[in-house]
Amino acid sequence: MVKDQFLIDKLKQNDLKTLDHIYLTYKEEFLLYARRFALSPDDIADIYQETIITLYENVQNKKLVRLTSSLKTYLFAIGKFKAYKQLNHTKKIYHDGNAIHISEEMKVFETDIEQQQQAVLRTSWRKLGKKCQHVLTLYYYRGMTLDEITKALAYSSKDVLKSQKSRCLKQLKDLVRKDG
Amino acid sequence: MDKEALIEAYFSNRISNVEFEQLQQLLKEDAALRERFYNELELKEAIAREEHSDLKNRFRSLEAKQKKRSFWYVYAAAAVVVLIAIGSLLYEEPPTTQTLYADYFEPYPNVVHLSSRSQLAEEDVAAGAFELYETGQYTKAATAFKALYQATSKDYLVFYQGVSLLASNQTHEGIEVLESYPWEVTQSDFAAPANWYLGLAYIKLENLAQATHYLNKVTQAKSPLSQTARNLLEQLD
Repeated sequence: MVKDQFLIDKLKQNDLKTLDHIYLTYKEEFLLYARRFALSPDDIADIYQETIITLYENVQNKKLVRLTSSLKTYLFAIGKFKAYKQLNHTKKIYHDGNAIHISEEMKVFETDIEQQQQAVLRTSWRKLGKKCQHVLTLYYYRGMTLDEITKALAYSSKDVLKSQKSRCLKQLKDLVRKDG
Repeated sequence: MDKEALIEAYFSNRISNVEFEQLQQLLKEDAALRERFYNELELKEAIAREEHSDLKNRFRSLEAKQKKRSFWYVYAAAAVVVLIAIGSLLYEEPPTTQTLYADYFEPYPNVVHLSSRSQLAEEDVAAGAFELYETGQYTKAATAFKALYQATSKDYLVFYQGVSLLASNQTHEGIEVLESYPWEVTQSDFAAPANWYLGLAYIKLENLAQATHYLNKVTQAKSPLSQTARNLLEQLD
């Protein structure tokens, strides 16, 4: 545990060598473990990569600060949810026939990744202004609160930021409509 | 906590267990909120994918490097096997070579773990052949590698078939197999090790001209075996 926490602390400092080390350390065991799921080896390899990336993100966006289990247990919990999601074995809420998958253990909601929709969204995203990309990335990906972003980007108030964020979302929506 | 605050708590990863349940409940009941939240989740995912591509590339090159390195351990260890199997012929007398064995012997146990590293179905089958190899059942291993090669045409299978034959004292057969593959033309990772074993095999047959020919190639390769080959050539002089 002490050693695992040490690795997490290294990841916090953005030490990608540590990420490599973690990736290689658990790979074999994860692939063995994941054989119980009715998934192809390619899917499992993909899930493993996504799992390590999620770990990295969770450390970066402060979702994971202190481990309450071993790193292995934590990683396998992420991987299990991803595998369940692929197999459609998760708890879900439906929206217009689309699933929102829920992991109460990880406190995560995830949509199904609809490839075509994602492709359109990413194309539109790249056309969005840099300022908008920045605000939305801080909020949705880096896990910063509106107060934190207001301060970091020197907005005059939280309300100004909020309307900026709404404008950005609307611009993106318009782009998606055009691209889609 | 109001809806806005719950959503913000969710995306900033500060949501408590109770709030997470509240949010679930709200999402079930409130279609407008659900639609908005669904779009936000999709956006988060799109941003994540944009940010991921660098990491994904990093893992890909890590895998490629790892694969190469794991092979290196395997054939460095294979060097030990053959040094032990046929080395006694070369180094009966001088005590320094005894030390050499001891130095080489240590990395061998690593291999058992590394060569079981596999994810592809075909590598799983190869793992069986490697198990025979690692447990010293060289004749069986040679047969297994040969069969695998006929199915998949991977250069390392020819290499291990050859080494297995040498290790089971089928020196002529081993040479024949190792000489059957165009290691250098195909720029195989196994070119230097194959030449190394050919050199050793010819020493065993006391054909020093051929041995020197192959060992010279090893010395010129960028290979961990180059220095060892130089040492061996000095001892041949």
